[in-house]
Amino acid sequence: MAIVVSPPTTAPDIAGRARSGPVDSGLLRRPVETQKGVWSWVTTVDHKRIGIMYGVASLFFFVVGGVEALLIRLQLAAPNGDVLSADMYNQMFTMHGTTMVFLLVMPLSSAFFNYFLPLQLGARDVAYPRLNAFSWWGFILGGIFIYSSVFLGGMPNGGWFGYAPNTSITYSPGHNIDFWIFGLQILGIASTASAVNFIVTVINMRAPGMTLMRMPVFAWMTFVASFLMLFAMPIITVALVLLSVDRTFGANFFNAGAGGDPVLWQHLFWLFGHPEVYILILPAMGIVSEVLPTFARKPLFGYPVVVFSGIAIGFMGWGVWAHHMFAVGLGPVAVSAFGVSTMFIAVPTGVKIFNWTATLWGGAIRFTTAMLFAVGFISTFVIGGLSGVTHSLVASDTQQTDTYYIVAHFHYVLFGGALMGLFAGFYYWWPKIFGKLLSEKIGKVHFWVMLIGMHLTFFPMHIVGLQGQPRRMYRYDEGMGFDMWNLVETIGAFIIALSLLIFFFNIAKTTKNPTRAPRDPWDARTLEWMTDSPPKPHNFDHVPTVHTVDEFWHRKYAEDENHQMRRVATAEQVLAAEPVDPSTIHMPSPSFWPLVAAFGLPIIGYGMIYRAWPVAVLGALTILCGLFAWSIEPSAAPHDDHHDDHGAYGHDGPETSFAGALPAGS
Amino acid sequence: MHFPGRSRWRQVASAATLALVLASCAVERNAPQDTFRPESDSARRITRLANPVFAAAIVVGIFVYALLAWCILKYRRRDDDHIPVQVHGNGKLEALWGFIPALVLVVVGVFSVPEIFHQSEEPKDAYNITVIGHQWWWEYQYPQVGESKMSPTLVSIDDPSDIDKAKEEGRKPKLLAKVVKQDKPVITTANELHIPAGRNIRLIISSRDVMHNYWVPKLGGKIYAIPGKLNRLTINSDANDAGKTIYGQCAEFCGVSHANMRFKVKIDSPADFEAWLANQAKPAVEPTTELAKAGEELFKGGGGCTGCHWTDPSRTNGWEVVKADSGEESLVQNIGPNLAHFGDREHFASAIAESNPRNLKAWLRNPQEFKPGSRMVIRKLSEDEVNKLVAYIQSLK
Repeated sequence: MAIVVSPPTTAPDIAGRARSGPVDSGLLRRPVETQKGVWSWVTTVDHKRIGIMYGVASLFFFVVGGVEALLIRLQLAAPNGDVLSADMYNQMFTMHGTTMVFLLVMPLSSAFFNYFLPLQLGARDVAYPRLNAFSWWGFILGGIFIYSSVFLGGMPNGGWFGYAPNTSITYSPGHNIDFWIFGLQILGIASTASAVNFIVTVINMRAPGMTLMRMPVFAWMTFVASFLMLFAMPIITVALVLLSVDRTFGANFFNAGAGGDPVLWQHLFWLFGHPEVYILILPAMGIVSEVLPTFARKPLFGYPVVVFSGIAIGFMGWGVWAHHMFAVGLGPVAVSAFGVSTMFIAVPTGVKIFNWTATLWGGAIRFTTAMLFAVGFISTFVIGGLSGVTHSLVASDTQQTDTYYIVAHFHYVLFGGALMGLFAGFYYWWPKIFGKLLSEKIGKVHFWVMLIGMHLTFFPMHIVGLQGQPRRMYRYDEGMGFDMWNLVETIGAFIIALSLLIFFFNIAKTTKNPTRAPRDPWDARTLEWMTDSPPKPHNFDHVPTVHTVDEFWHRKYAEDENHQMRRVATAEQVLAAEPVDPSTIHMPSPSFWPLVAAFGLPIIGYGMIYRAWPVAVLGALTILCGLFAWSIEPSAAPHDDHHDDHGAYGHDGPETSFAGALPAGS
Repeated sequence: MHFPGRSRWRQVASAATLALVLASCAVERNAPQDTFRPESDSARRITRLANPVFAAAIVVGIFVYALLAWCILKYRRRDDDHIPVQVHGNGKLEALWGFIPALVLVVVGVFSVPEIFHQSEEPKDAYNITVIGHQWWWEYQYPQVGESKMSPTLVSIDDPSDIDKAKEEGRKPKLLAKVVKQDKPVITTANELHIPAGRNIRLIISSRDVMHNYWVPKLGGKIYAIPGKLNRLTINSDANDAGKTIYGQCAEFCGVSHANMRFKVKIDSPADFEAWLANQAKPAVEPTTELAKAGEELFKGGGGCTGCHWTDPSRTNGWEVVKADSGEESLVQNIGPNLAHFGDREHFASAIAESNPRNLKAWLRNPQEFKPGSRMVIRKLSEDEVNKLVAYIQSLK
């Protein structure tokens, strides 16, 4: 694999070598690797920088979606609330759902995929670094595109599920829904591209000796979730194309009067929507499967079973979509089948829970913040999983569906589950990304406040839901028995907000703190810890050869003559023992073209929404232009391309760490 | 490294228990849409099925929490040299905890599937009522007095806003929606559903515009009202519950005023129900007071109300071809609730407000303030006109 690192341009011998024009002239001259500042981030193709950008953007959208949630909760704090108008409320819950799914949990998972998948595999980058940059730009431009609706007539207001025919032009004549449709299309393109990238990375880029069954579980879950994304995104794309053709050109896919079928929308949406749920939860399950063994000092109990449960969930996730539609009137045979399949998807999920618990059993547990979040994940996910099983009883689900009981269920799974897992990832991997430990003291406060807030907000929803409070209501009357619990939920929501502030405070404090984290602060088990923190652009000076799951751990610990595990090496000693490779590493050079190509997407979106066809054509041409330039641009800039100068420049350059220690990358 | 002591965990555990106990005491006992307190067989069957599963879920949950708590309390790291036995797994154990939940679920499945088929069967003696969802109110159609069955079909209708244009252009008008067409004349009302106590009711449900979801929690589960589709739901009530009013509302997001799409179910004794229906079948009584008469004039004339509202109970909502005296046929849309016998209803505006002069006046002054997004189009009325109209519609008994 021709992975190359571009040499530092500040190296004295580079100036004289600028034989190729692009270096010093032209509007779109090729950016160079070591440019500092904003521009280097705009043009980067480094998976670690892209991962950080995903993380920052998704935390930003977390705040936005969180503010929407707080407004929703303020409106519902008391009967007949008047904080929001009916339409504003509908915009808020639509955008809260859309934001949290597409702009928080998916990209935050993607942040961790990006940063840690190559590191865990012992790779120098993802398989297609520029495609990775394109995914990132598609995501962020898609998010900005959807939210530009705030200034252009109002945000989407048809629910994140966008049921036709309420979202048809007859019943939603404004552009709100159009922003939702085209925004999701853009995000879908970005996600599909990432999915391809991660799948190929897993298949092709593993370190020598790392068979699939020696991959860390996080890498496995990334692999499974990427396949789900690859197959689920086209379905929502088709659904959205049909809806936009209905809206823009007067087709009748969902118009019952003209022979269309609004139930078709539900099938398509949930055939995407249910695998989507697993796209959201599997990465968190992967993180938890990394954190638990590290802090219990035991290997994951039943590694192959956990992996195959994840794969089983990935397969079965395609066969349960109609459990979102038990009250739609599909007939007893169809709903029985989907009821039963829904029950049985609980089996692999339950197996995972027991395997995690067995990992703790007999361990030597250290309760760091990351570990607290991982155990918090299990404990809340169990509740979400069990309430999920109660939905699978079709007859009683007809009482539950469309009530707050469902809202409680999926917040236990997606907030208590996915987000807790992702927060475990933050605390666990922060020192890897930034070289500094987040404060454990503040982190523990963060955890407890968030856990309490989470249960206060979402547990009462079980009760009010079963006591008859439907979802998506901008108000409720007095005397319905909803008052007290809704107030509690609102208080809980503000406690969650407080916990998030504590997290941000922790980040700010850690950033100011000059103390560097040790190389291996958690006594970790996997390859990402077998390099610097933060890692160099090329990740590993020498790609380690893998002999077992938990390779790093097994280099640090070995059995003594009494079959007792003993530490035989520190992390530093493990690294020092790695062979020195004298050849140069070449990394892909930065590029503008992924950004240019991605920039065409929202232009097409605006063109379609305002029926300004020339604008849409301009957007398409922008994409074509970007893709064309991208395809003829070599992955490394010509002036950087000197495979045979093994480390020659490095000796004189400022980053002498490159010198002499770099393996052959080409 | 900080290892919290066991006493702290005990404190946490006892605080959590206390919170749980307090919470269970605080569960609202008087919630009119409470599914835990069903008031009919159709709803009780569901509760009977769900309750053991809730209980089993709680038991499983407690078991997993106990396991977790045991691990958390017992297996703490003593010091940095503490390395536990490296267990990689146990195939038999893992097979067991895959198999046992699967077995439990088989049991659950065996008990739950027959209920699905039971719900879908139509009881022999069932009394049919057609329910049609509109943004944002419910229309009911009853069979003629003395009958109990109806078999509606769905027909496509032309888009009334396109008819004239289509005629000019010499093409067929666009199709707008599928509406319910009854094979026999029916009695039409809105928002308040009357049902005879102790009898199985087969609701035949559709929608005129977007998806709605018809739900009376205390009488049974919910079912979608879908344009172009006829769904069916059986509910019933206890024989001795005559006189009760049960709450219901639309459960599927259906646009701006989804939260305001509510309704009441009135359980009548069979005799009262017969009497009520017989009265509904008759045309409304003529207004007697001067004010009401003036209101009728306004209603049928300058008020423009008849553009959308009928006062003839045999008219169903939607669109109808009306033959004028000249013989010319024209399509009339009457998309508002049928107001025949409006004076008999205790609530209006999809049961969000009591039907009294104060509320009715407020509604007529500005329906959209009352019910955001309401489709009712009304010109600015003088207070005098408002009084007249309220007197008239309240006289419709």
